[in-house]
Amino acid sequence: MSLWVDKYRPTTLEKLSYHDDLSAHLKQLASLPDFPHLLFYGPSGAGKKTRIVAVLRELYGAGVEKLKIDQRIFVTPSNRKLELNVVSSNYHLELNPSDVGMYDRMVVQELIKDVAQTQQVDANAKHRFKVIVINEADALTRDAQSALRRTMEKYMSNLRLILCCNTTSKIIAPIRSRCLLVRVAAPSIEDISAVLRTVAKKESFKLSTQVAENIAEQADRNLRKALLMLEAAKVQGNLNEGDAVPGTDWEIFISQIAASIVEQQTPHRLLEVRGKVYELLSHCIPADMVLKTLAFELLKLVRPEMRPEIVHWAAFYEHRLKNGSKQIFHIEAFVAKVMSVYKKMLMSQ
Amino acid sequence: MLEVRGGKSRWTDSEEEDAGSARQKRTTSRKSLTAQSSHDSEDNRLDKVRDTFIVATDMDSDDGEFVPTKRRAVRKADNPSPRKKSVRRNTGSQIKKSASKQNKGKASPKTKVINASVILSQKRLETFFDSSQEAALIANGFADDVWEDLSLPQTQEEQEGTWNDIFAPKSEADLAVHKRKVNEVADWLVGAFNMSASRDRMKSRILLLLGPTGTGKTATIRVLSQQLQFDIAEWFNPAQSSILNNKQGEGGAWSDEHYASIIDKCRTFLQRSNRFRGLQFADEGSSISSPPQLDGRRKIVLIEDLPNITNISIRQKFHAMIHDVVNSPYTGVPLILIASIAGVRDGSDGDATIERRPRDDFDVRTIVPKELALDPRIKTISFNEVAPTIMRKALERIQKLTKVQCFDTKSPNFLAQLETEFHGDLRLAVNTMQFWRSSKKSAINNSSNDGASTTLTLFHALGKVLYAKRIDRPIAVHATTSQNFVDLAKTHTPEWIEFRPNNPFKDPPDTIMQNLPVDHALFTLFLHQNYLTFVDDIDGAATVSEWFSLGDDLVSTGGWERTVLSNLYACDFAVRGYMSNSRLAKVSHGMKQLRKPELWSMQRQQHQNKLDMHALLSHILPIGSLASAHGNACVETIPMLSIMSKARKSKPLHAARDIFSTWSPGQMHALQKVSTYTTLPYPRQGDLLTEKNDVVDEEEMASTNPASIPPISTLVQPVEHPDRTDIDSPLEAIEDFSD
Repeated sequence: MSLWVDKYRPTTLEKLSYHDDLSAHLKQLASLPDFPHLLFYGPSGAGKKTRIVAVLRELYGAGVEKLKIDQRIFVTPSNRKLELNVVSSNYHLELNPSDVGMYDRMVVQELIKDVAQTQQVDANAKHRFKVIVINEADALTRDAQSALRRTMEKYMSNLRLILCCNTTSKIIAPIRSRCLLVRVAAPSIEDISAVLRTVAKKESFKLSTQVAENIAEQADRNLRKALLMLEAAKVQGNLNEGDAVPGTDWEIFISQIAASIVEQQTPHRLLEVRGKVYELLSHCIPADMVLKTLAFELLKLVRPEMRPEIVHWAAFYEHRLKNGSKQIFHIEAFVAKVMSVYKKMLMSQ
Repeated sequence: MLEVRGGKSRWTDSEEEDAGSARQKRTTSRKSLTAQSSHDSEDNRLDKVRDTFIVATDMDSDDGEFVPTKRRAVRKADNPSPRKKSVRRNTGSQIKKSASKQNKGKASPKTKVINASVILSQKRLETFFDSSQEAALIANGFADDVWEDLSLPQTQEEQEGTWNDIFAPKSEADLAVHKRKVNEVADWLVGAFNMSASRDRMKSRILLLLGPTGTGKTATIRVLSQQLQFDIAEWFNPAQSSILNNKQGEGGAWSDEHYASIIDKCRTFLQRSNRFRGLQFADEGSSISSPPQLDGRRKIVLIEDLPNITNISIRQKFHAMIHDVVNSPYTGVPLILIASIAGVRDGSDGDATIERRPRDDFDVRTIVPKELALDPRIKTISFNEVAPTIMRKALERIQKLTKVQCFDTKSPNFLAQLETEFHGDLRLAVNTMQFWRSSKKSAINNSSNDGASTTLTLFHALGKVLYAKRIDRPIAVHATTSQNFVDLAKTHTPEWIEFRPNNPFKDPPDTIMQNLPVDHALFTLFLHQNYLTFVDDIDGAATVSEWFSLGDDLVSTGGWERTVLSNLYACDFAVRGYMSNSRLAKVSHGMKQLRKPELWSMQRQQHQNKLDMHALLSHILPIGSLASAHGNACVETIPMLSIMSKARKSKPLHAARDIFSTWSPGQMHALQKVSTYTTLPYPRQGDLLTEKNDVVDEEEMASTNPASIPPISTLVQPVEHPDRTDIDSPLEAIEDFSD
């Protein structure tokens, strides 16, 4: 059994349910002989990956759906073994170099070069080039991106890259200029609602527009999340109007943290918050997500005049977080700051 | 080459040497295998090679030994006759001051000059190569004094070498080790020599001596070698010797031999030193069970100069070697390993990544393979720091011999001073004594003012920062300018800084920072873990946490090649930011518990959860979504799956609709585990940092959480992506645990 989000994922460009203009453009691109490097960007759950797969399908036909997963092993100069999972078909290769952290440059250099130096095996393939899909391209280190840039120039004849990322701001300019940028915006509430209702129809249960839109809103216009929420709500049996949309455990946990911050502002409370933040981080919740969610939960709880300050400090420490390496320092500093500011505000009243 | 000389065997790597020693073995009779005769039979070339070798090994053998410098120096001389004499004189013995003195009288002037220069260079090398104490001395400006002292024309006595060598203990009475400890070692040795191969096969093959530096591990063995009459075949890492050989044109071009790794050489050494003994058995023609000690001199193999076992592959080879020794047939030659364990290890920076640097740590687990740690054939004896009373006795002995009144041993608080200054390191004490003899001042009183003391323990360093004690020291305001300055400073100091010119810190941040036992990043982590319990106001906490944050930001902006330096700044920020914080509790803190950073257990948990999530995802997601799945999985897919699984419990679904129908209980359990958030009670238990227990121990860190016992070394690998074929393996492990 697979999740609905995978089960009802459209596989071709025609079946995509929103951003029709974009789909038409992509279809035209795929039919042209000079297919460029592509850089898909947009918020998560917008459908970047779905579109990439659809483009591949458009390029090579159903053959790209025959996937296999294998593990490539790299040996670093310091003799460390790195393992990287690579999903591939006869025509393309998909990888997530940021899985190997700071060694991603090696992956880019060795693996991509290997692929780039071999010709297309299938003589009947529609295109001579192969495609490499790089996920989380914005997590690539600078070194890796530079290495990528050389590869892109050198092996243009038998290699196209499709990069997928959330933001282009972390992609170095030379790569941006070598790619065709494809923005996949988050779907509107109506788009998501429509998709949810289609899925409900296929699963043969009733879903009112209001509930669908409610879920779409709760999911922050993230279609994947919306579909997961729909499925969870269905399992729970909470699909009537007025039922609470299931929230994730970690978000509930963070809202508890926010409440405890507003409740008391002491170093001891800060210690407790630190313990909870550690708990979140140990469950692989990304630190920036923790900080952001916490800030927004706090915004709900404080007076309007304090909100700008909270947003300011959230942005400030988010920046630190991105630069620094010890995430807990920055989250804790944010919490301490908010506590201090909040207490000052309470005193002044 | 196995060269038996003066109760010590040395090992070099040249091929001729091997041939030479083999020939030697063949031609000399069993009885004549004593030091003198083996020496007499050597040819000139051997001498030359050995001389260079000895000079070379001096560099790396000086840690923890009382090796007679005099002897080496004399042997360096070109004139062969005094060399041989000195060798004879030293035969089978430890350092004999009288002998070397006597010898000096006979040595030619040329020899003397060379002696002096060699000693000089050796001392310099020691200054570079030796561990903390010299480094500390240099750091604190002692170096200049030392250089000066060395370059001055020296008296007869000063040419002798370090006092540690000259006054090395010659009898059990001189030994600054507790009698029980000595007896324990002696008993083991006697047992090892006398055991009959057939009966006690399971006993006494390897003795492992552990302990801090300067606690008399090596000295005990050397004293016992005289008392119990055995020879020591000692292993030295030959790295420098081969370089020197080559420089001298010895052997011409680099041969393959030079490139043989040290660990391989070490293994050959062990094998041959055992075989050497074996030859004698053959000569005897007697049964193996008869104690060979009755005939020849008894022998032990000593490895103090351990190969670089922090490197994993070398450690594996070393462990294999130990396995070989333990499992090989009994040869009557016990192996003794000596390892200095520093109180606190070089720390990792506890970075967000799981990878860690190999640490410069030695303990039973790294030296001896895990599976042999409790083996009765390997005995571990730990040496404690030298007790102040014993140390006083030893120092008094040396003071009496040298007639230099360096310490005021009669002073009532002398013992306490010894404790704080030297932390039970007798070698350091004797070195300090020697360095200070020329200044005619009391070493202890001076050194404590100049900060020449050794490093603090982690516990104390943390305490000094966290309590940030101040002293009342009214500063005499000399002139109006300085008063103006104070006023100016007062008005311009931010309100969060405590500006108290009349109450300086008891331990200034600089002093603490200089004497940290761990690297700065690690110290910052410890400080971060503990500072909150010492701040009683949230504004203060906000200020200090801001310093931590800023420091971390700086560390990472410099690029990896600058992290060492910027880690120092980050730590400085944190320490000063904390100590000068005006919101520190004004009242006494009382005793507060210090804790070890939770960061590590968090990271271990994170890694484990990541692996589990991958395993779960690879079960439920189609291949196509796998490569990009992880980022979303933790925040979306897994939490939603968890909701579904909970709902399913209360309201069973139709099998066709049930997404979990194919899941095993173990997988369900894993799903619960990775998606359940618990508010752990604070403070947590089991991660206390105490005075006795302030060793940063990875294994210990690993054991704080029973769920994830795997040692860090297994975590060093990057995140694993379980193949679809072995999906169940990590989950089954979890299942086991849940039972």
